[in-house]
Amino acid sequence: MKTTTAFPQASRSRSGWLIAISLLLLLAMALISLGVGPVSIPLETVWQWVLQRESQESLSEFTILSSLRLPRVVASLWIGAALATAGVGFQCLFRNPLADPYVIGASSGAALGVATSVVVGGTWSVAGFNPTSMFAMMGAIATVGLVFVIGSSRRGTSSLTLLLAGVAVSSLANALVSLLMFVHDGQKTMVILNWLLGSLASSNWQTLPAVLVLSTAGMFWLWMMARQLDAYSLGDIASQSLGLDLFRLRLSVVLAASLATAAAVSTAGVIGFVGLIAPQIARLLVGTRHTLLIPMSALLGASITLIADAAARTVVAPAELPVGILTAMLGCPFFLGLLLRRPRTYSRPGRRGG
Amino acid sequence: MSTKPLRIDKLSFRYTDVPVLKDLSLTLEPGEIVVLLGANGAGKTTLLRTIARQLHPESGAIWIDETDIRDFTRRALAQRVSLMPQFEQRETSLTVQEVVMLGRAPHAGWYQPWTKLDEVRVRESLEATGMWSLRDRTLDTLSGGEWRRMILARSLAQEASILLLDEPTAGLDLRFQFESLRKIQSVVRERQLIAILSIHDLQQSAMFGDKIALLSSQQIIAFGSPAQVLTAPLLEQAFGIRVQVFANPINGLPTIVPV
Repeated sequence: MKTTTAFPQASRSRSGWLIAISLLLLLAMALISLGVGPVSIPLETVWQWVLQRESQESLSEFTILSSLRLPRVVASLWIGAALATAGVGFQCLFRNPLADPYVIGASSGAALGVATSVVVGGTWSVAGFNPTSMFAMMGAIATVGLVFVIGSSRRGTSSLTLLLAGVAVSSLANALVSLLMFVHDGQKTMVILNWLLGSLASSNWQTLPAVLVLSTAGMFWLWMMARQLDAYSLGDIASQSLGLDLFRLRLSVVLAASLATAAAVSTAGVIGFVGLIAPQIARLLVGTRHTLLIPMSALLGASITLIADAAARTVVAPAELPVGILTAMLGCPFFLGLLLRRPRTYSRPGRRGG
Repeated sequence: MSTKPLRIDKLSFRYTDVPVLKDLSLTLEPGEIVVLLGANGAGKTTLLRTIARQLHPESGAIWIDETDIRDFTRRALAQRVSLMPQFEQRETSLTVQEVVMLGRAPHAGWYQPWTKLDEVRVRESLEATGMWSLRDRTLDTLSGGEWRRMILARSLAQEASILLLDEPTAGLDLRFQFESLRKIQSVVRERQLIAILSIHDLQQSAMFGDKIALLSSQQIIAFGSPAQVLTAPLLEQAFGIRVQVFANPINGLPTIVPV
């Protein structure tokens, strides 16, 4: 979007630089993280691989980079970005900084889908999806759809009814997952549990394209709505007075954010905290204007997931930690620190000095 | 700018079984400030939101530019009517200029980049409300008076011919109350707008209202000049307390004292 030129916009042009620098940093981190893992690959070799200078001694390392590390790094970038963007969408929709991508049931729905597929079994595959990711995505979309239908049944939606419907349906789905885990044997329970903890270990070139396309579509859709989200953030009456169709906006945000979330959970399971803290940090850095906030959040979400996943595959190598544990362990203290030194913007209206 | 009147024709509205507005009719002319008076809960905000099509009446119609408002698209209606709410989310770090820019959304749309014209209009509105020097301040740093002026600037940028102001002076100190009302008055005169203000202060109603509409028991029980409407019997009927009305020795306008 074109920024206004006639007006002095010192702080906003700084934001543009911030985003550009973050993007460069992220690319650098992505390159470095390619070398990190159970088999450590020196940066030189990674660079040789980027330039496609093959040599005999590095052949096996090249194979690791191309078929194992690269899909995994790409998946972590896109999944982190998708979760963060969905987080921005839901936080704006509910006008609540504590909302996250799973707030209206995407994760519980996906978990129920996975639990069902594990219990039912099967090894078929459609469009590069294995049954687990397929069921996860269907579960997420079905739950969010159900929540939206319930939340909007009484003459138009309000964000509060949506939120409450989400909480109720999520609890039901979680209860069903627990029930399935309780009545089945240990091995199946372990599979479900592993998925619930979140992991990028199963990323591969077969499932990646679908995930990239879906999450990118969701993120781009949200970014297209940036101006409407700005207006919506002023309140229902004000935004309607500006000509905003509240029902359509809410529906679009739920669909776009859920699409991005469903794509992410279907491959990586439930990765917590990224969608909650990335938008918070981005808001402190570039403010609440969504044209800038969405890309900044996406970059931060991608960085957090990238770092967490690199740590997940090295901390206890050759074994792996679930990445969801790491994002929560790294994210929690950071988030608390932020909360304690946050200016009182969310707690009360009024002056903060100019 | 529209030079056609705003007509409200036999409007009825209810939230539940109890009607809030019943067969309410009112016609407003351009260049006029109409003050909407009424007790708490009389339905002032409801009437304003119904005119802005944010609430849907049970029966009756509202005509703007000689068109039933139900026939406008959202965008076309937003180009004509601007509702300024009593409260708004203020905990955002959007700047004054960015929020006023959103007033141009009914013209520019939600996806197209802002045009030069949009920028010019925003600048004019900011200057007209004295907010130009504060344009880079974020909303959460504004005082109540600055915030009200920012909202007014956004409505001006919206270039609506009908301004609906819900308690535009609530929470402002004496000076800002009068400054805001004078600003509204001059804009309405200059651009031949139609403005409906809901205010609780009877003195201000007399000073700034070209006409006063008194809302009570789901109806407009009186509509006319301040001297015609601000009378003891009518005010007693609307507010349920006994008052005495006398002409103010300084400006000759009706002054109301409860007895």
